[in-house]
Amino acid sequence: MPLFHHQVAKNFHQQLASLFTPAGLYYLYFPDHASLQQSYQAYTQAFISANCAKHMGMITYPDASIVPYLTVRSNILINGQQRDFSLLPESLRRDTLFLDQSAAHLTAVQSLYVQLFRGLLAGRQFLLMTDFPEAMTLQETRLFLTHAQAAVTRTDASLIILTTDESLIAANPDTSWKTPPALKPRHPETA
Amino acid sequence: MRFMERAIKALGYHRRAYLGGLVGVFFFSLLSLILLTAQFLNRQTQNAFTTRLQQFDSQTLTIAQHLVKATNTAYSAVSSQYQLWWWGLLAALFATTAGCALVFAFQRRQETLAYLLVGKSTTDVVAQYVLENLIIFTGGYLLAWCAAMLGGTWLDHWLHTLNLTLFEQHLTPNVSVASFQKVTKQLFAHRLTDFSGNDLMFPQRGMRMQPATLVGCMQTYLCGAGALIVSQALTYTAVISLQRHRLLHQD
Repeated sequence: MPLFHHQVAKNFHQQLASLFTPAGLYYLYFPDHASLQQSYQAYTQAFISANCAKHMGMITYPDASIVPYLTVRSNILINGQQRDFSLLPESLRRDTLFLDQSAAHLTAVQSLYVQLFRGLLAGRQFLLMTDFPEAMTLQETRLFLTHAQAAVTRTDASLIILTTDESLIAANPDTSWKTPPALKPRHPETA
Repeated sequence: MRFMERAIKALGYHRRAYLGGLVGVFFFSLLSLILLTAQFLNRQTQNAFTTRLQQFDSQTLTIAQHLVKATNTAYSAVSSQYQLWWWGLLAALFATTAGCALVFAFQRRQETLAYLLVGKSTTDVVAQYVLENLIIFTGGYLLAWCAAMLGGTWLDHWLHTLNLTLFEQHLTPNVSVASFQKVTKQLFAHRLTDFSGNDLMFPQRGMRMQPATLVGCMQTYLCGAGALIVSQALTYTAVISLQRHRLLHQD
């Protein structure tokens, strides 16, 4: 129903904005991986079918969204550059060797960073992320969250993390959901 | 610019497949140039034949009426045969590029998925893939053009022989050797012309008006590229739309 697309997108956007503002990190808890994956898929489909794909970035692991023949830099800038490159943490920004290498063999952690900053630099307002890869150490996770928090605050975006890790939920009671909210694009006549 | 970068990097990444494509395009372009040039030469020879006939007076020509008619029919038959082959060639290109796009689209599923997940539209992805193929097509075409230009003399000779062979094939069933000899004998009786017997119908080498030039360069490139764009855009759009639909509706 293309006629209602605009209205659906607007409704959906409002729905998201009411849930995930102010900008920051949000955690949705899932008891197991299966339900997490299912919900992640449902969220993604809701975004796309509500015509809100332009507001959303996706961060997945195992990463399907890295184009192997482009450099890391091109992968980060694949959706254009709305924000300044200085958004990247200095250690990453200065590592031109890494930025200009092919993105064919990224580690799980590297791929997460690429996907995070790709979304932020493109000016996406909501970033949807599946759980941290199991290979990631606690320290790496913490570092990632610190970098993400800093970047997200500067760009006025929200990073929504779907997780099975209860400690993350416990540590962030204000921005967490024990039961994830349902996201459904509504048509005007049913709204 | 990023779009171009993606296309060029992808060419390098899939170089083996595209090398095969380059060879295919090379042969298509070469054949198309040959057919169009041959057709042009054939038409030129026919015009020259008409010019030669003007050296006879109309009364003499009535004797050769049947022969002239048969000759013109043979020329036209050769011409339409070339035309038919050329369309066949174009259809083959259309089918082949569509088939290749189908296989290739499945091989590039992972890459397509990456683009779709990043938020690229189907049109965007299709445009990139078709552009890659268009670059290969242009490269293959230029190579074929160079080859045809370099082999010009040899090609000229060969096309002349080909035209003559086809011409004879089409003429022989309609004109017997005996009647041909009889008619030419009557035609050339007490007459001074700058050609004789067989050369009236189809001049030997050396009697040609001008050396052959390559004909149909624009037609080969535009029609080939057009066929490629249409067939591949349709195929890629179908496969990628299906992939996108599955992505959106999987449970």
